[in-house]
Amino acid sequence: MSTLTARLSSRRTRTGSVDKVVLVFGTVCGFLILMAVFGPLLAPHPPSQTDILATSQGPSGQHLLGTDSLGRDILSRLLAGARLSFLGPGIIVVVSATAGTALAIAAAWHGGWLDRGLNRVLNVMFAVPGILVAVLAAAVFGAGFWAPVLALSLVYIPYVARVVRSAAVRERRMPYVEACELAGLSAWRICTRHILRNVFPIVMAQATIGFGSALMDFGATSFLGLGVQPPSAEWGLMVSDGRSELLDGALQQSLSAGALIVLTVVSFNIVGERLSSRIGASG
Amino acid sequence: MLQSQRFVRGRRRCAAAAAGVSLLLVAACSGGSSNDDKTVDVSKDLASTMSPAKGDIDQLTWNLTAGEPDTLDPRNAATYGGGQVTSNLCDPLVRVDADYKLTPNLVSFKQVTPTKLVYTLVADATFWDGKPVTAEDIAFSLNRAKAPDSIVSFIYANVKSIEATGDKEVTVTFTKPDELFNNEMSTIAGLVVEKAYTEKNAKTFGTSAGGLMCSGPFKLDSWKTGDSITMSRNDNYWNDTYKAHAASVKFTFVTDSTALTQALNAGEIDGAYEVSPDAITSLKSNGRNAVVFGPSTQSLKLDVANPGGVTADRTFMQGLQKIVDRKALAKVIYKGAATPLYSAITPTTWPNDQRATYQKAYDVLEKERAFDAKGAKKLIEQSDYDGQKLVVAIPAGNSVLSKTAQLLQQQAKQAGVTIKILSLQPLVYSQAGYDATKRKGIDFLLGTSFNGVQDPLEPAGFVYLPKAFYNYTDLDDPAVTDALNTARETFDGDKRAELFIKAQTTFEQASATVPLLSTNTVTVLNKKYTGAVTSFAYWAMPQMAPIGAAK
Repeated sequence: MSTLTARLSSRRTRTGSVDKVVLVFGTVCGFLILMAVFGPLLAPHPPSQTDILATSQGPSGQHLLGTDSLGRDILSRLLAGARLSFLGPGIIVVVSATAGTALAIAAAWHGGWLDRGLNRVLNVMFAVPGILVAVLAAAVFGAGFWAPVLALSLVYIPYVARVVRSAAVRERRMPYVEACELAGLSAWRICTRHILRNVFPIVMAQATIGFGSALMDFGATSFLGLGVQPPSAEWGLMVSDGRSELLDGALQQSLSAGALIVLTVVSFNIVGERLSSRIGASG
Repeated sequence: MLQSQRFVRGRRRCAAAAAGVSLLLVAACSGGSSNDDKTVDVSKDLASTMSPAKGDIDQLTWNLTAGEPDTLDPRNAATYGGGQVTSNLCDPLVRVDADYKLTPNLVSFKQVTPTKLVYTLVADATFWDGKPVTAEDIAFSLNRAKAPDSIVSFIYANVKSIEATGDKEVTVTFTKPDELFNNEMSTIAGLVVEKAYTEKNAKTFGTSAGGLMCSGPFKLDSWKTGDSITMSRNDNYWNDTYKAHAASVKFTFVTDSTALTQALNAGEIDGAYEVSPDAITSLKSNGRNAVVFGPSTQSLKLDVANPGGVTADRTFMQGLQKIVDRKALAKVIYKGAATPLYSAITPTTWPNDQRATYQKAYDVLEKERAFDAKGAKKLIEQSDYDGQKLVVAIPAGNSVLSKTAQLLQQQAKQAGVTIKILSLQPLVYSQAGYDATKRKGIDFLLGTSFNGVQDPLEPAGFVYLPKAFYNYTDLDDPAVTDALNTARETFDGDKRAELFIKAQTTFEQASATVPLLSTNTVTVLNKKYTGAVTSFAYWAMPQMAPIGAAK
């Protein structure tokens, strides 16, 4: 037990300094999350309200980012769209992180055929492009919010499981685990109370990185018309809706939705990578 | 490794900064514009042809906007791309011109009795392999098109027999008189293939592997699946009127309207039909291409997808007809390249001689179905509709249909009707057109359709006869069936118009369709070239042949 305390104490010391990059992009992430939570309440206009007398308008006092080809307020759709744009990847990350972590710890603890079997399965799953599975799911279960979310949740499990398994195998060999076993603690208790606690920062870092990728993939299914359905607002769908307007020089819809996607993906990736590097350095 | 990581992270920071900055600049930099400068005045712009070509050209690259054909076997080439390509390769018995005027082609025809039609081979035509086109080939081709596995077999519904009755004579005998048949011989239903080649390559005929053997103004060179179809000029073509100007034509399959617009504006693709309304403004302002609007038998409709349910309630459907602001739809989504449509059968299919008769009946429908939000709401309230969501299916990725559906959704909402838009994968959407199992759970299919000939009996026969291919609502009304069948047996245009209108009055009351717009053919052609047919008649014509140099 004293080894564990010493490691955690050492990790705290080394990670104690303020990382300005994490601070900046963490703030951006926080702002975007707040936008997802409160955005629909802040939207100045009903996001699906069409106005055929004011289509493809440029920015004005009434519509700060202009209107789309059906006369809907783009700013309102961006704000309202943040919720679905974040909810989908959020569910994907929670489900894949939970399942991936459980599988990884089980494999690391049990070893042998379970570990080998899981590795084989993960290798096969890595070979399948996520977006393809999402499109297949939409074909089988129908286009909408849930089909790509469930498919991508499955696809993202290996990304978490592989990283967490490595960490869990390392923890499994630690003397404190042996000490716990000698003390008569059950495998369930050791895994959930000790190993999980020690690999949790890695899970969080991986989930943060995964969130950005999941947002891209989820947005891509909406862009293809197989994810979130119109007239709901979602950033990927907005990029797609605005594509045809680009030809007319009305850039605002695709560009603003695309910019928010880029900002979100980059911010979450940087924060996730920084966390991951620091955990690696301290581990 | 470290350097590359730094580079990646550096790039990401730049991207993040760029994203933030661009979000702020978007509002300032992007141009919104008023609706007025994006619409076209169709009444001024409609044309059936461009000015004639002045010389030959080496190569023409043309895009099939609806995508790659599934087959080039004439009897099943019923898609936009399939029909367009095969019409360049194979000769029909008779031909329509750009104004849908019927003229002899391979054959002259004589209606000997109401149930006997005799075709006489008049053209000195040869297939690409040099063998002459014979009466035997014609009889073979027509019998092949008559077979049940042919999409156009319904055209042959009244045909008793087709026989080569002489060296240059083919006799078609009918079980009952059939006015529609000869008109349809100008379409894929009447294209002639070589008997010997077709029998020898029976399994692969019309595919990329098997090709085909015809006598048209172009020869099929290659079909690279997923990439292109290339054809070259048939220098031995018998008909000087349709001798091709282009030595070679390459068909591409770009379906994305943005990519197609960029390719047309850059000059990588020389022309295309049925270009999306989204692209009209950009194409016109670019200046490289001529953009021409032509009359068309195409229409945009909301078809009831299944029998029964609330869509079988006539009061509800009457309300739904009034919900739609068709003029706004034409202006906002189609940017003026379409006109409001109030009947299931578009006016562009009316025969020219009886237009006044058809117009009178149409005016009644137009009055009944004119946009009236309050009237629609009242009718909906009186109907059996109790707030359930109605599912409207569209093909995924089609921005024009998606926007149309969203506009309908908003207008329906104002009348208290809830619409759910369902995007189907394009293949599934296409299958839903002919497979009832794929339409399960769907209330309406939103899409466009077209007719091959200028005859309202063709689309009506597809939709309103019992067990017809597109009779989704299982309509089986003896009054409609009798009137349509009798009309098809009637050679007198005036009497046929009366019978058709009698049927129309009944089947329009059943409201299996909410007609939305009559859409025009949009033709785009690089200004280096001219001569293109710009009406929808191109679909049944060797439309690549007249295109040549503008100077």
